[in-house]
Amino acid sequence: MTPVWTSITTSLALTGSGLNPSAVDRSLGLAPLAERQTGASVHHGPGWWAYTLDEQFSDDLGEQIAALTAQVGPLLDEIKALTTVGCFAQVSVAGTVQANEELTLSAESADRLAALGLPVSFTTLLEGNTGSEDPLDWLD
Amino acid sequence: MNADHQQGAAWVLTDVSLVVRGPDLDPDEVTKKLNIQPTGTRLPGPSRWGPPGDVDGEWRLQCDERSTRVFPEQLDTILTAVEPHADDVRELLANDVAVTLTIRGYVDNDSQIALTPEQMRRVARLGVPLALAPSTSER
Repeated sequence: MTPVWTSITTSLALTGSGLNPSAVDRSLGLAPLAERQTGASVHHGPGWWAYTLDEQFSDDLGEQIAALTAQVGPLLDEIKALTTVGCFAQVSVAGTVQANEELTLSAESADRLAALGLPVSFTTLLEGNTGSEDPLDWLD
Repeated sequence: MNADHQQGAAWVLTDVSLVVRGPDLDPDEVTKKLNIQPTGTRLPGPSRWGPPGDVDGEWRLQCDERSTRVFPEQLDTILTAVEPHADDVRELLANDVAVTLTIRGYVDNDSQIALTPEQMRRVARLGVPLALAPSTSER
């Protein structure tokens, strides 16, 4: 068995210099969902906003992607409206990586992401190099 | 995505491969079935170079920096070569072999690689798993 990435998260991430986090919250309405769902959270800072499913939701990438695409799919019109005013939207998969660890995206997960039609990024976080407990380090 | 440092550095020295592996894999059979000349093959059995215990045979079609250093071009090269044979690739999956579209590259903390929606659609249409295999060691 090839060793695999750990502490995997799957996020809908919006970035943009003029991004207004509270406007994104109002537009997408994912914050209430995050509050009542274990392992789901909304975080934001200057120029970025993210809705994230983490390993407390599921440590299985396929389950994270199935849930995120199901929750984000109905919001594509709202996301498109945000991107026309200068936001960049993507699905971001991130995980902690040690030597020779792989991440496998199943054909089924690729289908779900393709159907969503957003860019998809994969970010490697190195153990002991993050310097913080912030699971959204990759957005800095 | 371009080198967008706002979101971390990009993976570097990437390569993209279609990899077929199996304990009893006959690489020549894969070449015949797919009608594609591989860039590398390995017969099943212990290897001097692979990790200990890795005895799988392997068939690989790889695009690396010898063709282009640009990741989207590497991905396009492999997809364009394999897409006409997608049915045969999926038939391989039904046998006792693992088929992956594998992306390799050197990474640091917070290194990102991105697929456009169109690239994601092409990967999904091919119907094989996507393997992300970063290397964290010093270059």
